[in-house]
Amino acid sequence: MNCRSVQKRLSAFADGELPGFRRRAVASHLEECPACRTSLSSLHDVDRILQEDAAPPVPEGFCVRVLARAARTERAPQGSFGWLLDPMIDALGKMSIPMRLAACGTVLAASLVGVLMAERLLPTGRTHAIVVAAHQLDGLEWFGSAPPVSVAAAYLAAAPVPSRAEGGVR
Amino acid sequence: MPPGPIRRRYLPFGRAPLSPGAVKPTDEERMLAVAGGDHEAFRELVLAHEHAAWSVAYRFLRDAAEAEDAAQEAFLRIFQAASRYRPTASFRTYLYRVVARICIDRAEKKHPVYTDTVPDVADPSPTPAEDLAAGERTDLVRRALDALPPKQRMAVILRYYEDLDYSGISRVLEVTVKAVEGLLGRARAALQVSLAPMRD
Repeated sequence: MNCRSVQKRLSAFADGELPGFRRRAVASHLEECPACRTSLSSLHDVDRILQEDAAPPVPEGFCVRVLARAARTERAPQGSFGWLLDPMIDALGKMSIPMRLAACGTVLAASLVGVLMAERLLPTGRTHAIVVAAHQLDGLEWFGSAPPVSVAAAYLAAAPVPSRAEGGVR
Repeated sequence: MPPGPIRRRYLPFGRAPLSPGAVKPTDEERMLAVAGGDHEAFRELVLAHEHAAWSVAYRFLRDAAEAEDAAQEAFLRIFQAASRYRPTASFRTYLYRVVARICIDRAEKKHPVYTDTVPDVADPSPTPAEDLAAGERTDLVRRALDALPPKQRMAVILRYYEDLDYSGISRVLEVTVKAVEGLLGRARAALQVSLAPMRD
């Protein structure tokens, strides 16, 4: 076995994953080849370094959150707003805490602006009276006080006058 | 001999009760119980395997929030597919497969890897070996792992941290044992270069 084929199998050799005859061939090459021995030792160094790296513990409440998500999927949204709310809740769940706070703040601010704007736009006082009067008018009533010799008067004469029952001119 | 603690025995629909001596349900039996609507069995599965799912996802994604989401998604997919579950492999292998698929999909969406352009060896870090503090060492390991293509990274994680043999890794990644040998060989060659500053 030459160095090239040994180098190709060195990783599997280090893991003890080579079949017997290959393992023996690699081992006998290693006895004679200092370069390949250095490569093997460097692989062991990589093993040691990687194994020093510890993962943090499972986040607290992980199981509860999984069960909650599972329960949500079971309550299949039939005719409810689940199809709309679930993706939003999931998206919120994926965010970090500052991002969640920012998202909630944005929604609250938008709601507040909406309420304030609605207050300003809602008809109140004189505006309200005009809007109510306008709703009570029926088309032709706008022409009610047209001068006798005018286009509006001619139009009124030609147009059929709706009866009071039909909500016509009062 | 004093009697042991009384343990639940799951009896999913259509299954005959087991002998009174055999008390502890296996993961595969728990899965069948989940398919029958047993939430307690699902809770026990999550508790028994949350560490495995979380640690693979965290080591791969290196972001706690994303790792938690990936691990949760894996359990959720398992829960939703419980009725289609067939105990052909161990539950742990099945879980690793789902987690690996989710993680690799996410990595490929984030940084698409085109096989023609993947370098065989990652760029070595220029950090000097002399003054590598513990934090810097961890950071270097993370960067070295992150520089690997997703499948190589997952193979390394399963081998080093989950202690799976090549056959186990091949079942998780749904590739041949020979392919696992190739993945780990290339990954280690890259890591030898990128971790060189840490070697004494």
